[in-house]
Amino acid sequence: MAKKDIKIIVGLWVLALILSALTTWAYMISYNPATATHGPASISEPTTHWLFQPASSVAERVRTESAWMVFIIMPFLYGPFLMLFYIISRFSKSRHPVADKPNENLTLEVAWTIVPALALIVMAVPAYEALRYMEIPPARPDQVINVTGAQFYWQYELPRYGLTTTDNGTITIDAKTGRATEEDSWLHLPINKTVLMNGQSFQVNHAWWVPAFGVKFDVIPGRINTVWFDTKKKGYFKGQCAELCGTLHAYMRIQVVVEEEKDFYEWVLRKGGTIPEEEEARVVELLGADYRERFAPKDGAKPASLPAATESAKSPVPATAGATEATGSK
Amino acid sequence: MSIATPPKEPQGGGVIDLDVYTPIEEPRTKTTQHKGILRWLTTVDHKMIGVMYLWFAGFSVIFGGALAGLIRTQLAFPNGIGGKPLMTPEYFNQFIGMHATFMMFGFVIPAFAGFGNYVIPIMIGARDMAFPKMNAFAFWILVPSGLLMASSFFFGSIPGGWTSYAPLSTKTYAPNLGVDMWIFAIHLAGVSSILGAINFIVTMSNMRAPGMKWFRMPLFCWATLVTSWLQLIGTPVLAGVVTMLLTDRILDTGFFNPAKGGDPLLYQHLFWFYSHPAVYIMMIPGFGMVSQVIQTFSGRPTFGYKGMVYATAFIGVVGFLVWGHHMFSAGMEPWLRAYFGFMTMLVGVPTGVKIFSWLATLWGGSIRFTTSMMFALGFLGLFTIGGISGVFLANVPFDVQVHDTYFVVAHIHYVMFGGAVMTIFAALYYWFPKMSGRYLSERLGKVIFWLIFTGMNVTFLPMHWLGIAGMARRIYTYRPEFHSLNMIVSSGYLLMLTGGLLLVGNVFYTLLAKRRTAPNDAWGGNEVQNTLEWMTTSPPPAHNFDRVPKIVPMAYESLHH
Ligand code: HEM
Ligand SMILES: [Cu+2]
Ligand SMILES: [Cu+2]
Repeated sequence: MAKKDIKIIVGLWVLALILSALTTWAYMISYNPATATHGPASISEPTTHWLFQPASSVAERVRTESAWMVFIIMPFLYGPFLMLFYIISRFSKSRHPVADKPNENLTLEVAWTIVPALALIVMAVPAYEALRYMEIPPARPDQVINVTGAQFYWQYELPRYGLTTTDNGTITIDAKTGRATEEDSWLHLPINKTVLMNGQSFQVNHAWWVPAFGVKFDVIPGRINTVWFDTKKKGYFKGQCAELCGTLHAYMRIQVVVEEEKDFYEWVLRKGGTIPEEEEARVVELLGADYRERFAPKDGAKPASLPAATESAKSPVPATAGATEATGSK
Repeated sequence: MSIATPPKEPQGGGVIDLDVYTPIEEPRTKTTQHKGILRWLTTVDHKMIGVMYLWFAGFSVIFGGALAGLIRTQLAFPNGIGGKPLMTPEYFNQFIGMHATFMMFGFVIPAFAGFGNYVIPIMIGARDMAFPKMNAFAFWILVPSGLLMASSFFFGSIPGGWTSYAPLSTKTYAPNLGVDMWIFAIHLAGVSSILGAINFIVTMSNMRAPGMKWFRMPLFCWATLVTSWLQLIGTPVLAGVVTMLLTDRILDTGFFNPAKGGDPLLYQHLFWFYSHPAVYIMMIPGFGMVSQVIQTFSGRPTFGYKGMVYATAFIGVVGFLVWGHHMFSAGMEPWLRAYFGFMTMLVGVPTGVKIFSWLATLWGGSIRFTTSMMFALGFLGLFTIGGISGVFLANVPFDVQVHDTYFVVAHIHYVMFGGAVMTIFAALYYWFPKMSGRYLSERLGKVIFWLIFTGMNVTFLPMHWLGIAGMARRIYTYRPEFHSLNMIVSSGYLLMLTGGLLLVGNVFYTLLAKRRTAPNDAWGGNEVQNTLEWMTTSPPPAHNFDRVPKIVPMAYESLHH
């Protein structure tokens, strides 16, 4: 190989590195945690996800770790592509009628084995840190949710409040309010809390997946899988069952509402949940001492008169099948 | 017929005629007794069997491609047309399962087996495979397997995708006969696979012509050898796991039933123990074929031949140690996730070695842009994308986000369509003149290449984004925000369909209307790689060579002792 060729190859790979750095830079600036403080304000907005709209520390962690991965790996995409384009333009039969003599270069072969291997090791280190972060749940999670996948709905149990709710995936937008009538049967979570989820199933496999939380885990009969995340943004987050579970698998959509603690407690009370003693003080502080009378559901589902000022007041809670069933089963 | 005059030294080394080798006479005389269709039905000739494998693959790809069309139509109109749904989710789920099964077990693997059967005995200078009758048996057992698989449609087919995870595939959730038929079809295909693998291993171990040392075998032979070992070791495990599923279904055992002390996760472990190596079974022969094509049309022998062989073998070995990467979100020990992630990244290293070797071969070449070469170059680019997304997926935190989403669908199609299928098309254009004596149209070939290449990218590139943005795989309807991208994806299918139909038309036209014009060395320039299939007539006689060739070292071989 001529000296000139070596220069060109080095040049192409330097270009690949630069392109990779640019890609990584574009990736980094595409999301600014300081300004992106809110999730989607309604369920009709498009899905958010871990890459550009992370809504939990886990998702953010995966996002930053992936930047490193993009930086290390992309040269190995750009490099071969640049070389391929160059080869096609320079070494066609018309431009280069006689092929060069066969050659061999052991150093080169060793180099292109060792360098990618080193790159992979360098890439793996932050990946494992992120993995550890994902795998070790907080010792005292603020909320514990037991989720059960069933054909074809999700059932959430909040054992602390003696509360169960069922999300059957449907969304019916009320034309007047612009909000979904099923909202109360979805999973609600208070903001800025850590959440531990235990997943189980009694029939077939499903997977609980909310991209914005950076969380996906299979629920499999005969075992309990666990994940954790925290809620860093208010809003409506969408997910989807991610393990083929039968005919209506596509309809096993997931809706999660992250809201202020106050709204969360109101939801708990509307659903007929009970406040445990250790949280009583906090609830009184947020909702007032007479919260029981004001928010307890009447006839199983209907809440008492709601203070007009709150968000939730805009949507009177419907007696959907899911909601009634859930409250009844408590 | 005679073997072409040995290419002049010192450029290419070459071939010396020698009568030291006794051909296997008995099976060959049998095949020539019949004429017409009976000749095909009774043949034990490796070339005819190879061609029949290729026809089988052709039918499968048409069937699988049609199913893909149905899938893409549904996803273009997820809410039906004019309020009328196009298909039920039951059918959709069967279509995705059957599409994958037919494309992988009906198209890619048989196509590789077909080219291998046809070319490998010739490449190593043998008269036939080691066990010609077993070879015929291995092919003919594939036919009932395919029929059984296709007819399972009338019995509910497989409701759970090609992976057929328990418990969804157990009696309780899939009471129909379809799953049982699928299991038996897998059994038959598995037997075919194992017998074929044994045959290739024995053939290459025992029947190489004098002078054809291990490290003189063309890379396609090496690739098929490694693949055969993977098949031999892996397939029994697949047969085992589907048998366990079968007994769970019909004998009420409880391997995968937690109520009886079984575990659904066991199914996944056993299934992927085979099916991860299987993805390499569906790629490695393609690597080999592409190496042949690139040597021929760049005018340079493969750079780092031995490195290529070692890389292939390394992929084969490590391929058995990474199955857990399909189960990162299924629940396993933390250290196991770390282990499987790391091993998977390791696969990227030999894969990189191969890509770099091809590039170094091309560098300094004198490239003829035939259709075959264009498919090979297309393969190089597309497979790189698939390999890179594979390394992304080896990152456990990243994989957990995109597992079971359209990102994985994009990955598998960049490696299997951009990889395996492109190499099959390259090989088809490359060896078609050898097999039939006729050239496929080069002008039309380029149109076909661009249609398929563009269509493939329009179809599969946006899928990466869909997966990240939240579209799960195997869903027959989706949230409205994914609609516009899905329309683009489905339109890419139409481009590929056009290309595919033109290709089918061109194959039939060429076979029926064109004359045999191909010389021995159909593409010229065989002195570069000196493989034996170009030293006999096109098509070769039943006994391949009048005289058994003896191989002498090639001039450049001193480079890679
Ligand atoms: C650099 C090489 C490769 C790496 C590192 C790699 C890695 C991976 C990983 C980690 C997954 C699991 C993704 C998930 O489900 O979450 C995967 C899936 C898959 N890969 Fe690859 N891969 C590579 C090459 C290939 C090749 C060559 C093929 C076949 C020709 C292939 C075919 C597949 C298939 C079919 C699946 C999905 C199976 C399914 O779930 O249905 N991959 N790959
Ligand atoms: Cu599902
Ligand atoms: Cu795999």
